[in-house]
Amino acid sequence: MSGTSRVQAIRAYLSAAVLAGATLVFASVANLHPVYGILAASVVTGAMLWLLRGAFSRRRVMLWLEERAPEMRYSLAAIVESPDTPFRESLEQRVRVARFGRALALAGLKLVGGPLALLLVMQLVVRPIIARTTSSDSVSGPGKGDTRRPGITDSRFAAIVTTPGYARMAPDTIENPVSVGALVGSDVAFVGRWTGRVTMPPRPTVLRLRGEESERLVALEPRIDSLPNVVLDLPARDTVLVVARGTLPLSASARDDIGVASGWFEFIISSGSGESFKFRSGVLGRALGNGTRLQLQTTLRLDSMNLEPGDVVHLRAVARDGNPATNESGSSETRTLRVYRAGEADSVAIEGAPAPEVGKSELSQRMLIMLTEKLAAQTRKLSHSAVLDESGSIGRDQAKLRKRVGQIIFTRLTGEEATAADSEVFADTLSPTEALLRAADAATGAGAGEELEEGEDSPVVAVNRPLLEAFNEMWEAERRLGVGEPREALPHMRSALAAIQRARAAERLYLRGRPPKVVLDIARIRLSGKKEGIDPGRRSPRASDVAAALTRQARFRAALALLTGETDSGAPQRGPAAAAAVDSLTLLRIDALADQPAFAAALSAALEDLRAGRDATASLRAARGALVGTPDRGRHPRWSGAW
Amino acid sequence: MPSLADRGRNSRGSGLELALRIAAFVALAGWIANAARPAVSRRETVRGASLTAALPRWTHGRVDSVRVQLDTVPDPASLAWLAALRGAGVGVTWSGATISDVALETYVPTDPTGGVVALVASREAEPRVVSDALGPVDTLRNGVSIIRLASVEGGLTVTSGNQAARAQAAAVAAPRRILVAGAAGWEPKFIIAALEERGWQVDAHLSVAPDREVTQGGALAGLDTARYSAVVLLDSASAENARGVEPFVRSGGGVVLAGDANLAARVAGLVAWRAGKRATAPLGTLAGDTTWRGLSLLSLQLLPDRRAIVLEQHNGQPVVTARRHYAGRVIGVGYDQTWRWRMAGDDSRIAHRDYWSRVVSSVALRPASATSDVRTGAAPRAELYEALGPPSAAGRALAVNFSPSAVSGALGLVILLSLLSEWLLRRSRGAR
Amino acid sequence: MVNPVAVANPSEFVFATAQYESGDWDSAPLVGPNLVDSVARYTSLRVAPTPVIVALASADVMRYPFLYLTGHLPVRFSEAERANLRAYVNRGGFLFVDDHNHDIDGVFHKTAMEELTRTFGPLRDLPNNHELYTTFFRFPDGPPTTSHELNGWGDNLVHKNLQAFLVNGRIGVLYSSKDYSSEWGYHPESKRFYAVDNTRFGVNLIVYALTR
Repeated sequence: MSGTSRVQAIRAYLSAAVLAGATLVFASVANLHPVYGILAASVVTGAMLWLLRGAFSRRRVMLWLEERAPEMRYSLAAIVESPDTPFRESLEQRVRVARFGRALALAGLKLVGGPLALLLVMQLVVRPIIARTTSSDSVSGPGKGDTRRPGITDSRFAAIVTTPGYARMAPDTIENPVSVGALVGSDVAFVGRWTGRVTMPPRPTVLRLRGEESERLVALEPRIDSLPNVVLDLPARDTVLVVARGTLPLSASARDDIGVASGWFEFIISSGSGESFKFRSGVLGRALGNGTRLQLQTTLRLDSMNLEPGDVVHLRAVARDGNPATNESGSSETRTLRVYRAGEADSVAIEGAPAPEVGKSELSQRMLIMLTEKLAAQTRKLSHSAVLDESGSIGRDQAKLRKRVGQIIFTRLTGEEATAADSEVFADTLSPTEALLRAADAATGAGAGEELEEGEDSPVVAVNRPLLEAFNEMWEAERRLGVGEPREALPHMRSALAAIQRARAAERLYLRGRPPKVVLDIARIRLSGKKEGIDPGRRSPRASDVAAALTRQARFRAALALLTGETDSGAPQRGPAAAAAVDSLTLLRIDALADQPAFAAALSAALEDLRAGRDATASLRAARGALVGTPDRGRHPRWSGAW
Repeated sequence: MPSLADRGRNSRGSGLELALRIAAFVALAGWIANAARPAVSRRETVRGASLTAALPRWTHGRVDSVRVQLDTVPDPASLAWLAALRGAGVGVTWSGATISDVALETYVPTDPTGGVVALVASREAEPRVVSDALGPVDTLRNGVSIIRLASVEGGLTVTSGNQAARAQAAAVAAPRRILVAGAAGWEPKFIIAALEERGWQVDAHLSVAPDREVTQGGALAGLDTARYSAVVLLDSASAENARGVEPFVRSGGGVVLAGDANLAARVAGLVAWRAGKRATAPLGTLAGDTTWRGLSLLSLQLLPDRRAIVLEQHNGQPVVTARRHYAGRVIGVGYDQTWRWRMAGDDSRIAHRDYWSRVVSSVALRPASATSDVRTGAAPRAELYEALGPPSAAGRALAVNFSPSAVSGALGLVILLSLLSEWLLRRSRGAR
Repeated sequence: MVNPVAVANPSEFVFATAQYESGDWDSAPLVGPNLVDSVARYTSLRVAPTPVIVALASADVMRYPFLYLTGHLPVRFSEAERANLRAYVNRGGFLFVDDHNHDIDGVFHKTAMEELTRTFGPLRDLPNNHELYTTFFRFPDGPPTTSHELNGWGDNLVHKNLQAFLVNGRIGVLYSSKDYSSEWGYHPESKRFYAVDNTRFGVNLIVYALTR
């Protein structure tokens, strides 16, 4: 290769390196912002080309080579300057032996490597910083913030959903989201082509994301965290306390679909009667939750509550939801503990509540029935004496229960605590029920027994009638068991159980008494009042149930009109009208989420089809079906119009 | 020199030759004219599928007679084209033994919720597919012949077998207001509520004391079809006090008489029934029981000398009856505790609402349509008969004329024979 | 729902008091007869002479589209009561709740409002020009004051508004802190001692329920 050709080749090499470097510089700056980036990149590249313009001149390249290879002793310059020199051959020989490969490599590295490093710095460091500081303008939602994550490029669009910590769920990434469904209070970060961050609101909302060149609607669909379900296990029933002493175990369980934050017992104590009441309230047994279940347990110290006869303790358990965005509470049913007041049975405002002992009796009675059934099934296998022993044992338990029920009835009839002997006083000569009533009669002089015999019950006897029946049946069962006849005892035991259950139901509904009866003679009263001031005003119309549905149908049809205006057939719809239709359907979907979830779901499928450019006819038809429901069908009417 | 006889023979011969020459020239002219016509057949038979392509050819080819074998009724445009050909003198005959019978009528019911009601007539054994611009909506089977659609995109199509019927319901104005009158109570309250919830515009007059009413909207005396579509009278007092009911019905308005409003003397001229005794439901009857629609009812005994139809019965006794009175309609409803039905359950609330809306809708005046009703394609076979007449067997086709090619051949033969004869005559008389 | 009584009069108004499991639901037994008396005295409405008591958890509440609920003690609805009441109001029933304590710090007010809010959503102040106040008699200043308010009993406040929960624009639940239960809780025969019948607003409540 002659010296001239060599200069030409190296000149081309350097020019290429300069252009490559300039291009990299341009890319580094222009990538930041479309307008300002291009301007800045043009200036920088122009300046760089100007400074390195020597690479484009044959003379400068020649001098540059002479500088890098001094052993040529300006032979190359002589060849370039005076190509017709007679010493050309010797000059060419000197150039041929010169070595400047290393210099060329170094020059190439400087010209390309620097701009390449600049590009990397701009992409990896500067651009994320700038994006973070400018993202606040990109979202028209309630929040702002983080924009971009490594690995997500401009062409991609995704939502990263981070649920509140109490839910203990891993972040979820939704690619190209049309809608985002997440727990209320979740953090939703949009990355990629459109950026922004919002907190999931409590109601369905449409988020308008504005990018550099376009905008996009994304539906935010909150998943409502349901309130904790709280069950008060203890006390299991409303209770009447004869005396307010001792402690009462309280137990409750709370369950939530996501998480319970805390729970406690609440009580209100009402004291007084008639028009004069006083109230105290408080909280017991507060506990923190750490999961979807929370068990609450504590004891209620009745001694310390200064309860007086007639006071009522209203008790319930409360649990607070773990979601910090809602902070709502669920509560159990309320139990009442009433402190018995002597003489209250005469009031018309008796608190209806079965005594707890009846509940225990009911369980025991059920257990005794099971034992007796088992014994009755084994009578053939067992000896007569064994049956008699076992049957007698059950009979004694039955007797204990009967006496307990008798004490309850006695207490209710007399207002006094019964002793074991009270109901047995007349047992030798009368039936157990008569004996019990006679005992009550003897204790109070109220004549309860006589009223029962006359068949016209007093209210007090009437409400106790199921218990009296239970008492009677138990006595009969006890007698049968005593003679080793478990099979014959069973019907009486079952009747006793049914009577106890009736007693519970009856007292719940009817124990409160009846208000004084006021008999009005409507015919006599009719229009006897003064007419002054009577001036009926006009009625205002009631809102239509169907107006909202009709409006929604009209919106759906308008969106369809936009879509069908684009193409004649079911071909994929595109263009601005289709985009407007997609936006309309998105808004419609949000509107329908609360009260027409099936329609919203069907619309979601249609929107997916439309966004993907697929034929959406079938999915839109399904959405229409969900919106308007099944057609009414029938035969030709007899009466035209509607029948 | 030729003799006189020869001269006479020659003159006769030359006259005949002249005639033959003229005939040849005329035939030639005819041949040329015939050749200038497009070379199409003058009688064609096509199947339905080829009709679209054949119609332009027939139009430009001056076809004298066509026969169309149809599997389905042609679309309205093709049918109109065939009718136009027929009107222009072309003999058009058709046959179509395999065409399915289907017809469709659509209308917008007198109901604030709108929608479209489609009445379908076809062979019941075949399933009929109802569809609109978005595709199939429903399939009617087992004798179902009426369908109410809440929303229809574009026109409605019913397809039975290979035949489709198409119709587009004309837009109608929204129904006018409804007037409800009665003594304040649960029944009027909940009937008004039902109608308003269903979108009806209601005027109300509820009596609460002597000469005192709770009102909504216009005056009771101003019954006019320009304002009201229907009036609902809920007791005998309100029926007696309602003035102008008869002229209102005569001019197209509707009247609903509920409960003992059917007893009022003022409306006796409107009804064809007489209210009987109130029957109460036996103990244990559920208030949501739809055979009672509440817990009591009045049976309505039809009068023999007037015509009415029974729409609902209870234990064989009419409970809901209806009749026309001049341009208007009257309906009697014997149920008088429908509010209990409404309160019995959430489903009952909707059923009660829809029931009363249906009662009112069945008599309400339908305002005249502002737009014309386009029904082309709704009854395809009827339209086919109207356009082309009844079908005909193949042997009954009209007489067929010569085709252009046959005419050309005949004329060519005439020319040839004329010229040959003329030459022979000429040679026979010795002329060259 | 069982129909224990075949009703001869189809649209007769029956005054019903709600019996709930907690509290003293029967604290104002004379309000019912007194308002029935007033309805008969001023209107031509068909009205049953005897008020009824109906358990709130029972399906029987659906037989009485007007329901009166009062008491002094804490109100805690059971699930059955809550569900029944929600259905009742949605179907068109009218529930009138009155705080017999006349005390916004009282437990009835606190617990009843809590339960009503839990059942229906928040109650709003009813504007004093609402048609409830012109339905039959005219009350241009809104709800009439009670003697309990004027005497400074209870919370020592004159409550300016009633609260309401609206369904389709009509009142489904009406809540009063004014203690009409005390104001109207007397025998109807005593009405002759009043210069102005103080139960007239009660007539408005019933006429409203029957016409809206």
